[in-house]
Parts: sequence; C-alpha cells; structure tokens
Amino acid sequence: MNASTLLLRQVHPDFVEQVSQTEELKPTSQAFLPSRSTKTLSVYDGEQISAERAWEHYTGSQQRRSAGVVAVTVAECHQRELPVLADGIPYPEHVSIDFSSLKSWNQISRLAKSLKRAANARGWLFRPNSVPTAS
Amino acid sequence: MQDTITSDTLIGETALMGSNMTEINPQEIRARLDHFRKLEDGWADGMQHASDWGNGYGKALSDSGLDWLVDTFTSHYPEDLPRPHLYPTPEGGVQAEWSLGKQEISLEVNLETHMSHWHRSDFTDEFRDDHDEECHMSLDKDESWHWFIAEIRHFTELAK
Repeated sequence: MNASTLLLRQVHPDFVEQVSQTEELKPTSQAFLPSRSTKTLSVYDGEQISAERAWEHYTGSQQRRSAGVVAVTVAECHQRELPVLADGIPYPEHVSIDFSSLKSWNQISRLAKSLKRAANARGWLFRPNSVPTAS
Repeated sequence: MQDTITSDTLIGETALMGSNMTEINPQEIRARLDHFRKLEDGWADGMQHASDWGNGYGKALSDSGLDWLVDTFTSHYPEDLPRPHLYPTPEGGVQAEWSLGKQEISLEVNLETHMSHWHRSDFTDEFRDDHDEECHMSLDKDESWHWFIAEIRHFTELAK
C-alpha cells in the first residue's frame, strides 16, 4: 500500500437513503463508524482487489449485505491521524483503520463524518445493477 | 435542556456551502421509520470489524420506541426544514443526520429512554474540531425540540 491506495468500504443498505429525487444516493456517516467494542473499521486493500470483486467477496462467500462500495485513501486516514494496518486477517485483502487511540466517541463520530465526506466526494466505486434494498 | 456543551459555536462566522436537502413529508418520515420495524437482531452483521463477523451485530429496534419516535418527530419537526437522513444504529436506536454546507449534524436517539445525543461537526477547517458542539437532551421535553429545531434552521439559512 501507499498513500494513494484506495481503502474499499462496503456500505450496508440501511446506511444509505435518498431523501429527494434530485439528491444523489450517498452513504451516511454510520458507514464509517467503527463498532464501539473494537474501534476498528474493516476495509479492503484496493491494490489487491477491485471494488467489484470486493463486493462479490463480501456479499457472496461472506454472505453480508452491501449497497455498494466507496473508498478513502491511506493518505486521507493518515491526515486524520488514523493508523492503517494491512493485517490480512481474516482474508488476504483485509485492512483495519484504527480509531482506538481516540479518547472520546465524539472524536470518533467526527472522523466518521469526515471520512464520509471524503468518500462521498469520490463517489461510488461500485454499485450492483440490482441494488439490495434495505431489509 | 443542554446537559453538556463541550465546545463553543461559530454561529455567523462560517462560510457555508449550499444544501440540496428536501423539505420533509410526514408520510415519508413515517414510512422510513416503519421500515426499521423489520430489522431483526444481527441485522448489521458485517459492519463491525471482520474478526467479529457472524457473531451478530445490530440490535432490533423496539416497536413501541418507533411508535413514539414517529409521533414525536412528525408532530414537532417543521415541514419547511430539511429532511434528515434517518437510519438505524447497531445499538437499536435511530440516528438523524443533516449535511448543511460545512456542518455535519447528527442526532442519535435512544428509543428506550427518549434521550438523544446531538453532535455538530464544523468542517470549515477539516482538521480542527474545537468548534464542534455536542449535548444530551430528552426528546420528551418541548424545549429540547425548540432548541435543536432553531439550530437546524440557523445552519440551513447559513448554508443557502
């Protein structure tokens, strides 16, 4: 990985909502909020796997639900002082974005919103033709 | 009403970009919140760290809590203000989110206690968080609604 490597994030169908016909469908910040227990976010290394293949892996063999794939770069994480770890576990392309050094949930929430803005400025990297509806 | 405010505000000092959010339709709000009734425990599995996939993540939302939120939101929130994005949280709550120019605002609602957590992040400077604002308030109190609606109105106007 290098600074410009895209880190691919799957977006749960319930974390996107189109509130008007003129507004583009975009993920909400919840898509970039880590769980409160681990404070780490799972993404795919965009140099090892394409957005489409990552979506296929996630929704196929892993049997998870995703409305599509967005991304932030390694540099965008580092600018926000978020360590990026290419741990390769539990699958080879797995990367963790680590929020655990942040002292408060408000700081984590701000950075989730910040990553959302960066990802939304880039736009969707992959969306399936038949978009999964929210459950 | 505001139990804690952790940082000051920058009211009137920020140059904000426009927003394309739409005004609300109470029926849409009701339909969106009613949709969350279908979520079962484990609905968000896959959004947590991959090492925990398959262990269940995402708590079902309570029907009585959603009944309350539908009623209180549609009766308090003005139709002329931007419609927030509404989505479930893995903790079994609901979060409303507004993107108003450089302001990212979220209101996380606990459906059991009716307490909410307001958090406004100011991205006028991407890497400074000292103008962010947060507070905890009960949505059973009219004064909470008056305060946060005034905030949404203010930042909506600034974003135009």
